[in-house]
Amino acid sequence: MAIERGIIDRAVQQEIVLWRETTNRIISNSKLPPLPNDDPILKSAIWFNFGLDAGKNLSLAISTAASRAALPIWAAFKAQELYSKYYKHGQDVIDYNRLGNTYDSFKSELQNMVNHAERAFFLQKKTIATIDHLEQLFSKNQNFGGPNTTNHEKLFAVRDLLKESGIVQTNPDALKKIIRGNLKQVANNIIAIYQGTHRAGGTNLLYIANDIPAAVSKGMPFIKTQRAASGRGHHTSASCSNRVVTRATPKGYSLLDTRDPQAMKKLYANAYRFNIKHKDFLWLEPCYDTTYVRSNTMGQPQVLTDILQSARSANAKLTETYHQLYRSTQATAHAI
Amino acid sequence: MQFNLLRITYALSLALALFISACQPQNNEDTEQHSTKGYVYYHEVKTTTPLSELKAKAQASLAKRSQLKLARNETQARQQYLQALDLWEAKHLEETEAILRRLAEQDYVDVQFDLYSFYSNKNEYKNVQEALLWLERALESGYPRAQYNYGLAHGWGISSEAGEWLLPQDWGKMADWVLIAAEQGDASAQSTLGFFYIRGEGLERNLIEAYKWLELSNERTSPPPAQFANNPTFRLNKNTSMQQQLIDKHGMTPEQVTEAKQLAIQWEANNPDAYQHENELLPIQSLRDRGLLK
Repeated sequence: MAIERGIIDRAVQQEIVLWRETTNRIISNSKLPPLPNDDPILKSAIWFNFGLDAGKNLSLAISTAASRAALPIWAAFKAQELYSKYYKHGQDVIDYNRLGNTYDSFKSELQNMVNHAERAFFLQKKTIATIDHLEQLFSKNQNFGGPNTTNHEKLFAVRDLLKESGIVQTNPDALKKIIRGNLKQVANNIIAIYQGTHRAGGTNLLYIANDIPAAVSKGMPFIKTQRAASGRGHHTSASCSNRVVTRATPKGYSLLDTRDPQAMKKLYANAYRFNIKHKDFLWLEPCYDTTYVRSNTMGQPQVLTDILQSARSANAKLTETYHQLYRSTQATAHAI
Repeated sequence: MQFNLLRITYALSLALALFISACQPQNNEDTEQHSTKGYVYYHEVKTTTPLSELKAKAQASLAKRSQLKLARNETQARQQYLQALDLWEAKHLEETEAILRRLAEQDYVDVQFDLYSFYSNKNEYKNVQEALLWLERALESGYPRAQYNYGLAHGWGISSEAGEWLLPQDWGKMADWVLIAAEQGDASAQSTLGFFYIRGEGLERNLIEAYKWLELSNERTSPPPAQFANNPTFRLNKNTSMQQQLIDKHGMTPEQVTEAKQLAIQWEANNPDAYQHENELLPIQSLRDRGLLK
């Protein structure tokens, strides 16, 4: 006699519950690696990006049949919804101002996403197909003869098969490795951005690549300064030799002011898009004397005006840059 | 001068002690938590019983083997039993219950166990308290199949309709009872115990023990029918596939495999009274289906 469909459903449900409980527990107990400072923006940026990164992995898992996915492939539907919500034009949806609040709110949002995934899994066609397949496998199996085979025996048999198939990962050691590994990768990205933008003796005005993933893939600097010929350029800055030099904005880059908290939050909020392999990848040329700039603004209003004007246009450019980033990466995501 | 040196030395040693304690790895281990549904987490173990105590319980149970009353072995009782099973399959539940209860009251442990199954099923006769009662009677008599399922029931626990725990979830007790049944030669329990050792469910992960128990289970399991030769749900296929995974995926060395096989041989030598084949513990319906009922 075949195992009742209800037993199989229950077994699958119990495995998913186990996955959800174990995953959320690991997320609760995960700690961030040591950070350059105690800035709450950094901490919240890590959890924010981790959540989006997890959503990205989930959406990838829909299109592939990777049985080694940390998250159930048929549970990705709801998570993809949440991910799409964040992934669309970020300025309208992502509230960058949230970066800096207690990062626990992002942690609990991530756990909420996991809970959604668990609730949604029965709606997936792949789930139904998997249960159908299990029912076929167990049909007329003489190991479970007759109505007097207990429900627990049947339940354990189905759950054994699910565990060995790897479709639902419930091993806490394996889950810890995946979740904490991903978290560490995201944290490294944030730390790399922080270090790149806060080098000792560095500048607050930087160039940021317009298409960061492309820059990274080509081995180009993600953030840079560049000495350029005088007379051209989009902004005016002071050099350590006290000469006012006009620097050209390098092609493919836009101006970023690291003193602008909003600009920095936007930068941090997109860290999940980048695979920064080495922290030293971000390099800055030394010798940009911001002290000189600040002290000279009183005596040289023209310089201040120029700087303010360039900062305003830089902000406008920055907005455009981020829209470009979203469009380019969104295209990539759909291609996947 | 000497006093200052002492003070400095004391201060330095205190600083060193503080430094060392600060360098200790933080305990990142997960603390026990219960979800709102009452499930404990994967590797949470509430009770741990020494292995020697469990083996002693298994031996005490095995000693009752000759006194076990099985309906399948007595002609008249077997006929009534099979009649009840046919009625059960045809969904004549009232008559089924009457026959099973009558036989169970006569201490036939296999029927008591089936009565547990009867009262656990989702139908108008479902009665979880009654089910647990008959299961406990069967396992106290020393029926390994009841002990194995009692262990499995601890996996997720048994609760009443009102939501009270009748059998609380306890992965430690789950592994304990499965081990007790496995030590008596129950092939299903041995296979499950092997999987527990691989996953660390309710006990310490141990690949050599896992291989050994799967090997012992294989010796007691008939091959599947020809049409199910590749069906992974049949115990023998499942066991051998997992044994291969232990080598390919979990990195068991040939020396470890040899050690596991030696342990299996040693176990057989030390447990001559254990059940030798699954047929001795199969449900009567399975015996009939396989044409093994005389």
